[in-house]
Amino acid sequence: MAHRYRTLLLGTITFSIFLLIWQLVIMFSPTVFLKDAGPIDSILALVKLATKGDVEGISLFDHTVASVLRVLAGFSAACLTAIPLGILMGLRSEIYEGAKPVLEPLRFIPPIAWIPLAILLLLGFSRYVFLIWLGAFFPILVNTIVGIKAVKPTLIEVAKVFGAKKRQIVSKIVVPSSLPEVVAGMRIGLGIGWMCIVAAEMIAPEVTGLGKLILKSAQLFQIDVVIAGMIVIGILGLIMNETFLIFERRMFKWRREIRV
Amino acid sequence: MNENVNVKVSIKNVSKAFSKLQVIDNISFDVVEGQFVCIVGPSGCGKTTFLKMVAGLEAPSSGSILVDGFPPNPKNRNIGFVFQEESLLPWRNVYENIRFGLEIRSNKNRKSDSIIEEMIKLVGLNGFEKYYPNQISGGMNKRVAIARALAVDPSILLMDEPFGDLDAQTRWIMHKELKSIHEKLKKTIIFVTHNVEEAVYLGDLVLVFSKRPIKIREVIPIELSEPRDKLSEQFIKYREMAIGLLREELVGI
Ligand SMILES: Nc1ncnc2c1ncn2[C@@H]1O[C@H](COP(=O)(O)OP(=O)(O)O)[C@@H](O)[C@H]1O
Ligand SMILES: [Mg+2]
Repeated sequence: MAHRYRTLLLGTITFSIFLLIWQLVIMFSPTVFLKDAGPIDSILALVKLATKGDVEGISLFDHTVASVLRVLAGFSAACLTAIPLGILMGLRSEIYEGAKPVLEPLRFIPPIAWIPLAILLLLGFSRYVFLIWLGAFFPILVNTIVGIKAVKPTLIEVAKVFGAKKRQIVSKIVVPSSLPEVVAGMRIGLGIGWMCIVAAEMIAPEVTGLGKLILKSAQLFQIDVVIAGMIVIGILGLIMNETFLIFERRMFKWRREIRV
Repeated sequence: MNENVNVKVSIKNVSKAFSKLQVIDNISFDVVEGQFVCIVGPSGCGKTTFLKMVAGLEAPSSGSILVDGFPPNPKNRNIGFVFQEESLLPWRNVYENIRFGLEIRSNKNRKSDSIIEEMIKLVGLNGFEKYYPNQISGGMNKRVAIARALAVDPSILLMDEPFGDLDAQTRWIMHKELKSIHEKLKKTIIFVTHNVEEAVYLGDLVLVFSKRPIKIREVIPIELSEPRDKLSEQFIKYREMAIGLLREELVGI
């Protein structure tokens, strides 16, 4: 218990220092636009966003739902493609080696660099799905391949000694043993997808989405609203990550360690 | 071998090499049904390789291995194997681990539940069915591995230094239990170890392997009254003889 109180106390101190620095930056900043963007102003702006909506009357809820739906759609697409492909490439290294010349360079193009192309090639919702898919795909793919390759050879021999067929070795040994790695990849992929959505929404023409909210407010110099939007983005990202972590700890309690 | 005893495993002129590394050099011996054979040999001499060949996981480079008169093939013959390293599926609890072989063999019916219950009782794991391998001790892990191997009613049980990483106390308990399991089920067992005392305590027959490439250095039938007493004069005589042979093999490694 003492330990709990100490963490709580430490957390409170760090948070207070953070708020103080924020306030100081606002007070001493040379620009006039930041004058109304302190912690209290931003919280008030957040309340107003939640209750009355933004300048165009679009509520915070609508912005949030728009962003979350786009991310979930792109993320699902990434899981549905990256996991089967990762399993295949993990099992058959010749497929992995064959795909490498295409995959490896693509992997290092940030999804944000794809935004102009996405805007030209795709329309509306599919644009976001594509960009989120790009962002989430590679972490999930790479983790799945690693998870599949990391299976302990002894466990495969256990199955072989019982006369297991290839299919059984894959379904009963290889896939379950790779699951923690796969789910960790999903968590990372979701995080990256969440980062991409904000950038994508800033550039695309749709009027909803947290990214659009931020950009629009910035153009009107409502910096308190910008910060309110940022707070929502941060909290939602945190919730997604924590949900995954809780799920991982539950599901993989047979594992000794779960990394953060 | 005598005509009226049932030869379970027959090893004839078996050699094994991994590319240039000669591991096993022309060994031959028979294992009789129900016999408990212990193999001792220096570390790295090829004991695991040998057991894997008997299980059909590795093929001999030359010579023949027959189990029940056929070359070993896990696809059509039940073989029990207890591995040297940790081999439980960490995502399955004790019960599900013991069920694993039955699942592969697709005997997953009502009967399999009673088999698993029986195995749990046999190795003394009652009450631990729902525990995961990382929640139970090393000794219990080995019990699960033994139960899993026995659940498919294997025609032979192959054990590769199964108690090597246990503390002396736990190891001693496991010896007694393995003995009683052997008396109960009358399985043919080939048990590999580098611990001579263990071999003399458990085996009807102790084979001393030479250093690599393996030859059979000595075959020692153990004639001791049961239950064996590790402190008896007879026991110590066997033990010292085997240790002496093994020590000669260790010279020059
Ligand atoms: N698949 C393999 N390929 C090449 N060398 C191997 C392989 N398996 C085992 N060896 C080698 O064969 C020798 C015997 O190994 P092993 O059977 O594990 O010995 P032991 O079980 O007696 O300690 C070792 O030198 C090992 O490196
Ligand atoms: Mg070995």
